[in-house]
Amino acid sequence: MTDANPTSTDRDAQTDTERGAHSETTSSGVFSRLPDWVGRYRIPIGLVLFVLLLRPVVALPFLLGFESVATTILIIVLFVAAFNLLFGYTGLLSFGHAMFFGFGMYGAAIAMSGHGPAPELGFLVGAVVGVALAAFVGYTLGRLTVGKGEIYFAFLTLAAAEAVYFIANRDPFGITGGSNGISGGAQPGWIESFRGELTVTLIPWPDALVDVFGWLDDWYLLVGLVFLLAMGALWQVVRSPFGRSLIAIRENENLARAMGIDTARYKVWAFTISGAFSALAGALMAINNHGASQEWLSVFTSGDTVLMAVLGGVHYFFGAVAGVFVWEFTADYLTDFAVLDLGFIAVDISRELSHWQFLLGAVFVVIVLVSPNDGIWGYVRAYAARGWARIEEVLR
Amino acid sequence: MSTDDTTDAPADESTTSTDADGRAERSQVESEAQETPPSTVLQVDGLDAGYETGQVLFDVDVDVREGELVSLLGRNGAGKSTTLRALMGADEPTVLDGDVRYRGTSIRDWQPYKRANAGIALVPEKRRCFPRLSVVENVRLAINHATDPMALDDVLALFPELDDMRQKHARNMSGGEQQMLAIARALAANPDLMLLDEPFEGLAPYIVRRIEDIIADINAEQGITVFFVEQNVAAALAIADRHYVLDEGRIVDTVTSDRLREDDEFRQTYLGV
Repeated sequence: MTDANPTSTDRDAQTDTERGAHSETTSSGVFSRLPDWVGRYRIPIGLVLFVLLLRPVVALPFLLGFESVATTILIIVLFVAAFNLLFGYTGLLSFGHAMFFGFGMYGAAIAMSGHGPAPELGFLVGAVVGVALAAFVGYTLGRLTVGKGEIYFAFLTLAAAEAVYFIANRDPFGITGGSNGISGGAQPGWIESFRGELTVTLIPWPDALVDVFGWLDDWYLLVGLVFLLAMGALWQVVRSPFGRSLIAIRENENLARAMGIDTARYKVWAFTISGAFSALAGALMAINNHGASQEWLSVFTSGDTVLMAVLGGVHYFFGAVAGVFVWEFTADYLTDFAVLDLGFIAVDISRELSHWQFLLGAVFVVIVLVSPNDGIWGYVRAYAARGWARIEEVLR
Repeated sequence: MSTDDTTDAPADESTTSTDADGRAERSQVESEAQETPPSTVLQVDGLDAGYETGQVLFDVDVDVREGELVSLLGRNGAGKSTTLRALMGADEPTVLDGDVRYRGTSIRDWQPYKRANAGIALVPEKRRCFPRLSVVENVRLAINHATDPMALDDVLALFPELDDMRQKHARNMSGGEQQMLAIARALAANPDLMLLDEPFEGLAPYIVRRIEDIIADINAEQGITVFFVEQNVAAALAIADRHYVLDEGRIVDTVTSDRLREDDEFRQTYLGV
């Protein structure tokens, strides 16, 4: 396609960055006062900032006070973003996405537990096999199910995931560890080095950077790098003509078909890509957790994924970031919360807060009531846009 | 450089293969067209179609020739939209009997996307656009999936109203603007045959006149054959060459504009005006 008018193309590009919708408010809001490239690349810029700031923020003493959860959050964000390609962008609800996460997780963990080649590269082979298997299953299952209607699709994916859970549980080939999962295993030396300070000593990071961003725990940075590459790829998918076609299918499938889109094929590929990226997240989690456990394959993982996506806002690329951050942060914060100290009185409420799912459920209900279609991120965006409009009014 | 040029990596495969399919469908249609009179673009033979609740269309025959602008008129519930849906191959209605031929090739069993790739564009009823996509994005969707599309700027140049609101989302546009967008989107695919489902429904009179001009221009200047269903007889009379009249699922006659204008009894009997 050619576009003769460079000015119009620049204008177009500015709204192409967040494929879900609602680009008008952003392009005419705060981004109109910033250089063009900031508006155009706000998603990757936001992702880099998120990776850089997440760990020091959660490690603040008055927040969580520990940073290991930051790595977990990055991995789950990738998983939910991959899920959202299917749910938020294509309009297909899969209730079995834990299966894809499990393919990557078990692939890497099985390879690390000595069933693959040498441990130095074994887990990589396992991860690649897991991702390829997820893509294959996504494609095959997609071919069989996407034409059956939304409800049937949801239940067929659920049934397939339950079948995979059952196979991992029964462990017919003696490789998945049954209900115990896979723990430990040989991690290659160079991965372990990322957990220490080796890289830091190789690169003369300025002390100030080390202090501010906490560069010492480099496993986080390695995950952060993979996270950025994978999220960047997903971002390219959703902003491409392919991604726009997925939105068209979600909005009006009959019209999309009448416009020449082979909607079944697009849905199958969305399912395939979504499954492959979910498996990548699973492989990262296997390394992060030194193994694989069955709970990640269960229907509860699939359910949590749906809830996190809805909580964050399914029509936004950053919805996954918002949903997972709030979910994980709330869970960890409430779990660790012990004593409510008001100065004059201190009350131990740890027992009440141990039922954090109940409180998170309340948060979910509030978000759904306040922002039914757009989740936390949509609400924040709309609020920020209104605030910015007011500031501009005052400035004028 | 266009945004699409830099960002369509994963889509290339899909759109390219769609284009390849589209070319195949167009060439299939063109080669088979040699065997039938070249002037016939759309031919409907004895079409019976219906829903689970019952048959709606009975032995419908339509013949639209190259460069014609033809309307299908009828009262509410006569089966106009059902006819158009059957022509586009929608899931419903079910075609029970008869045939739909496009340039001599039977497309009765073709998926809707194959029909679109072969050069048939649809402007659906109620001005359906993709509400969360902007004007540009709506039009680009058609461009990305067409075999031989028009350039974006060439399309928008024909619709100055839309050119001024490139980034506006369809859901924030007026009814008339949405109708223009729906037509622009169909036109962007550079079709041979454009089907429109009640393009004047629910529009203010001055917008109706603007849409009349647009459809007449598409036919006269772009050389696109147009077949539209409508119950606004005045608007149809203003632009169409011929009119099929549908009543209770059956074609009762095909008439010229002069006959339709002059024969009050015929108009009153079948169209209620």
